[in-house]
Amino acid sequence: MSIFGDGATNIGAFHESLNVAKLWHLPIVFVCVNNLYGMGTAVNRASAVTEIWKKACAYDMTGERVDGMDVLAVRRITDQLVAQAREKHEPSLLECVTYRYRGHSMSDPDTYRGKDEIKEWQTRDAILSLGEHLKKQKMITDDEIQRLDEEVTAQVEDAVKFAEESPDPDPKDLYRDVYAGEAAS
Amino acid sequence: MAVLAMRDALNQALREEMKRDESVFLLGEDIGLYDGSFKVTRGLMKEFGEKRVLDTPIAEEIIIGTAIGAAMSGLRPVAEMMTVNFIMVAMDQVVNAAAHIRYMFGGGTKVPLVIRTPGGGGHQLGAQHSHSHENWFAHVPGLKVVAPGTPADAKGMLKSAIRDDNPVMFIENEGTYAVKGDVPDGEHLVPLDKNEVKRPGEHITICAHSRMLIVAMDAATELEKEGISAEVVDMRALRPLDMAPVIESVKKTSRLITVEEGWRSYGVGSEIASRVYEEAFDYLDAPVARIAAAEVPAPYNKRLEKIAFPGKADVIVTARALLGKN
Repeated sequence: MSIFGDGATNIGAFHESLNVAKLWHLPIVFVCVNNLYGMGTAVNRASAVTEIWKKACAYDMTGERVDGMDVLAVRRITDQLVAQAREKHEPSLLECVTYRYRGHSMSDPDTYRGKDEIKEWQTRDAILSLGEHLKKQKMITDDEIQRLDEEVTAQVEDAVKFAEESPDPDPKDLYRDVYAGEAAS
Repeated sequence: MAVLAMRDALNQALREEMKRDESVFLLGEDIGLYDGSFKVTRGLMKEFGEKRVLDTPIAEEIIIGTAIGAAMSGLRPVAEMMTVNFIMVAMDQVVNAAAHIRYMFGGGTKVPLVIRTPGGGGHQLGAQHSHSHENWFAHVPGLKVVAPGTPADAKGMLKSAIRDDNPVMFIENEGTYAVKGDVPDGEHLVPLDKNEVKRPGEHITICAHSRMLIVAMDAATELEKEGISAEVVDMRALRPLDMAPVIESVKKTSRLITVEEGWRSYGVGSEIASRVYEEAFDYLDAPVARIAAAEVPAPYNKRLEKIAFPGKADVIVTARALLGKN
């Protein structure tokens, strides 16, 4: 499985990859996370075809579009496409339509889109929606969701702590791993 | 020992390595059914099949990208770029991926990849098919760059490159494919990091690689007739750059000419000259002379092309001048 954003589908390497994947019958699922913006540029300002899945058509490849905010729908279609790759040795392109709540990076002031648009997408949050669905199915309680949330938050905080507290590399490690097997320069 | 043309020496190296190691495979444009643009891969698809000699679309970025992925997964790909000019569209893969991935993964992976590609002009192929860019690659940490000038070195260095665990830019030259020379049979390995004196001499040192090595050797033969004894150092190992034989030679001759088929500015000769100034300044009796291509896009016109690339006469005239014999 190869995962990339909507912005990557306008570059030559994307098309070269789809072409040889189909040509050579490679068992690949290309997963495009379409969050509607390539850094600050909206899909419709960068791509002649805004429904990314349609780009598979040029290569006679299976293309699918799924609501990326629906975890179970993503799982269903992914299972199907992975099976196609395994059993028929045929690649496919899966477009998951989703959204990015924050700026592209810490230096992104996020001035290229409306705050209402962000709020609108947040009402359809993938994780919260899955929680609601599981509650309706009586598979989980609010307490359990809160506990999961705390566990995951703790894991992330541990990772940050580990990173911050780990010692810096020795200065002589600057030249390590430039080459395999020897100290070339 | 057999007398082989450069292209056949390369073909022998590929065949031997493919027989020796099943993980070695070839990919590139028209290398299989067509037998290769310059016939280096002649007969190999017939012998090893379409899975190990892979004809690709004319899409250099996917060729190098595929090769990098294969190398990281345990195979030993040898990718052919039809000419070095065509690799420009794949530079992202060569530099940002092949050269840097190991470092970015903290040594957690390796990229045993060979990219074979010819440079060089002189065949009226114009500005998009005639240049030499080995200095571009030799600038990049993480890549190894070699450019042999004899059939024996071509075979021995290609075999070593295929066995190396790093991405190796293996620079060939369109003007040398038909050049013949003695080539040892079977297991003949030439290290990727050793330059050597190809012709001993006393009065002046000439550094050159690839086709310019042949030009330098021819010039040295002519100079001998005038009583000038030139020592020719083959700079086949460009990165890592083995300067030891140059420094040793300059300590003896006190004069150095560098010859390259690429442009002078920021070139191979510039790097060699810098290192000589750093390591052997006190031994020099004259500034280092750099001979290189005219700094223009390679002309198509035959007359202009002839004067754009360095030749034997340029080396001879420069040698005389450095020795005060013009």
